[in-house]
Amino acid sequence: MDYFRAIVKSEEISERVFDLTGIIIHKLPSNYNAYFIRRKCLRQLKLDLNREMEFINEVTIANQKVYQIWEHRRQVIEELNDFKGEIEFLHKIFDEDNKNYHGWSYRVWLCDRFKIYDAELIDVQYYLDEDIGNNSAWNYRYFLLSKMPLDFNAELEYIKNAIRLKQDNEAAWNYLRGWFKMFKFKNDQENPYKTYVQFNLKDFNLLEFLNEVGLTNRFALSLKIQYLLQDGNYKDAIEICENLQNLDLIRIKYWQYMKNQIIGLIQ
Amino acid sequence: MKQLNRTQNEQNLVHSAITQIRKQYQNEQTEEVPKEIMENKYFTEYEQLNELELLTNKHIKYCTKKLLNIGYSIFYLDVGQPWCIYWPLNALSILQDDVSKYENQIIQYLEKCKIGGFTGGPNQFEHLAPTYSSLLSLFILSTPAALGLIDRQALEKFFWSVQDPTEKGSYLMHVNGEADIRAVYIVVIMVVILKLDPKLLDGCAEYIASCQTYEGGIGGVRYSEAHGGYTFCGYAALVCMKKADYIDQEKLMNWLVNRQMENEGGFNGRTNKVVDACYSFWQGAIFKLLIQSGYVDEQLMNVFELKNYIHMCQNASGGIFDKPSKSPDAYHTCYGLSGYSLADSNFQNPIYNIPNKCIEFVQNFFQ
Ligand SMILES: [Zn+2]
Repeated sequence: MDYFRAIVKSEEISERVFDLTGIIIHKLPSNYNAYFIRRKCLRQLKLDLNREMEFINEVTIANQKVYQIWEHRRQVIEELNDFKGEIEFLHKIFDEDNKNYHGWSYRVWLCDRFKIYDAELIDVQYYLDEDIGNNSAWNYRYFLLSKMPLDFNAELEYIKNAIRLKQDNEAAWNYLRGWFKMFKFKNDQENPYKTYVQFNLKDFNLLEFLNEVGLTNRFALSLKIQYLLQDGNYKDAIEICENLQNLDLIRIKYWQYMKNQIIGLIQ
Repeated sequence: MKQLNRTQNEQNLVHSAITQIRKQYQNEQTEEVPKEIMENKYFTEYEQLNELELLTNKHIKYCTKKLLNIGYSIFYLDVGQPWCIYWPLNALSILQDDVSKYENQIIQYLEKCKIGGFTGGPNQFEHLAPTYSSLLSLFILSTPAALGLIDRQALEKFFWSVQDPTEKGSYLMHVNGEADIRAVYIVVIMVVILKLDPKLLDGCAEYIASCQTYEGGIGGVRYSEAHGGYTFCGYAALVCMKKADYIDQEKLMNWLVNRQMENEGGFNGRTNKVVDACYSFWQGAIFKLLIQSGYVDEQLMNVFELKNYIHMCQNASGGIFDKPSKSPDAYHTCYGLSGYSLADSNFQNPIYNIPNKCIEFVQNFFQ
C-alpha cells in the first residue's frame, strides 16, 4: 500500500502501475485514486478497452453499489462508443436488485448516449411485469416517454390498468400525477428547466376512475383533492382533507395544513 | 432506562410484529386489540418500546470509542477517513458532550489530509466528500486553531478544478470523477459560508432544478429517480442560495410527506422502498428546510412516530442501526441522532448538519 502511495506521488504511467491499480481496486473498489491513475494509463498507453470492460464487469458483479466502478464503466463505454452487451449486463445487475440506483442512473445515461429509447421502452416492461411496484422502473419509463412522441390517452389506460392491479401502489400513483399540472398554492416560479410534458388534469375525466378504485386510498383521495381544486370546489376538497386526517394518521399534520391552505383560497 | 437484550433474529420478529399489529389496528378500525395479539410476546415488548427513550450515555460511549479510532487506519489505504471523524464528532456534539478535548488530535490528523480541498486519507487526491466532512469537523470544533487550518484560496482553486466540463452548474466529486447533486451541494454550501468566489454558484440552482423529478423529489443526476439523499443535497443547496423557489416545492412536499412510513414511523429513501434510520435526517431535515425557506411555517412530519422508530433502532450498548436486525455503525448513529435532534429542536442547522452556534462562529470568523 505504501508502494501505491509512492506512485500516486510520482505520477508514473506504465503497465506496471496499471496492473497495480487493478489489485487496489479489487481490494477496495471505492478507491478513487486508483481509478484516476488507471484511466490515465488506459488513455496514454492506449490499452485494450474491451479487456478493460471484462475487468469492470468482474469488479461490478462483486461490488454492485460503488460509485467509482459505475463511473469508470461510463467513461470506458463512452470511449469505446459501443454499447454491445450493456443491456444484458444490466439485466444481470437487476436480477440481484431490481432497484439498484447506480444501475438505473447508468441506464439513463446509456440510453440517452446511444438513443435506444424504443428498444428500452419494450425492455422496461419486463421489470414492471416482474414487480409493478418497482419505482425505479416507473421512473425510467417516465424518462423514456418524455423523450418520444406520446399518445397520452393510451398511456393513461396503461396507468389505470397498473393501478387496478395494485391499488395502493404509490409508484403508479406518483407516475400518474407526474404527467399533470398540479394546483399551486403559492406562486412558485415556473421551473425554467422543466424537461417533461405536462397535461391539464381537468382535460381528462379521471373522476370516474377515482371512484371506481374506491376512495379509501390516500393516493386516490389526494388526486381527487387536486381535481376539485381545479374545479373550484373547495368545500368538497376540505371534506376529503378532514377524512384523511382520520384515515392517514401519520400525516395528520399535513392534511391539516392542506385544509388550511384551501380555506385560505376561499378567503 | 430500559434495555432490550435480544438477538437479531428476535429483533426482526419484533419488527414484523409491530408492522402486523399496526396493520391489524388499521384494518379493523377498532380500538380493541384481538386476544391472540394481546398474548403475543412481541406485542408485550412493543408496549415497552413505546416507553423507550434515547440512550444518551450509551451513545456517547459508543461514539467516543469510534472517534478515538482515528489515525488507526492511516496505514491502510482507506479513502473515507474524514467521515470517521465527522460522524462520531457530530453525534457527540448533538448529545452535548464536550468535544473540545479532541481538538488537537483532529487538527493533527486532518492536516495530513489537506491540500486545498481534503483527501480521503494521507497522500491521496483531493475529493469533495472528505473535503465536506473535514470542513464540517473543523466547524464543529469552532476554534481559531481549527478554522486556521482552512486555506480558502487553495480550496477555491480545488472547487474550480472540479467544475463539470459538460454541464453548467454541475460539479464532479473529484477531478475526472463522477458528477452528481452531492458535489453541487458541497461546493454551494462551502462557497457561501466561507465567502468564496460567488461565480462558483453560477448555474447551480438551474442545474439542481433540472434534476427534480415528476415525483417531486430530486435525483442524483437528471432523469434519475427521486431519492432522499439527493433531495436533501439539492434542496439544502437551493435554500442556502435563497433560491428555494427554483423547484416546485408543493410537489416536493407531497413526495416528502409520503416518505414517512405508516407502520414503522421512520422514513424510506424512495417510493416503495423499506424504512432506514439514516433517512430520519436526509428526509427529516427537508421538513426543517421547508420552514427555513419560508414555504411552510410549522413542522409537518410526525415527530412522535419518527422518534419512536429511532428508539427502536438503538443498540442496547450504544449506537444506532438502519433497522432492527442490523448492527449499529457510526453513519447511522450520526444521521439517526441528527434527525432526532432536528425533528423538534433548533440545535442543529438543517443545511450544514452541525450546531447553529458553530455556524455563527464560522460566519464571524471569516468576515
Ligand atoms: Zn441507511
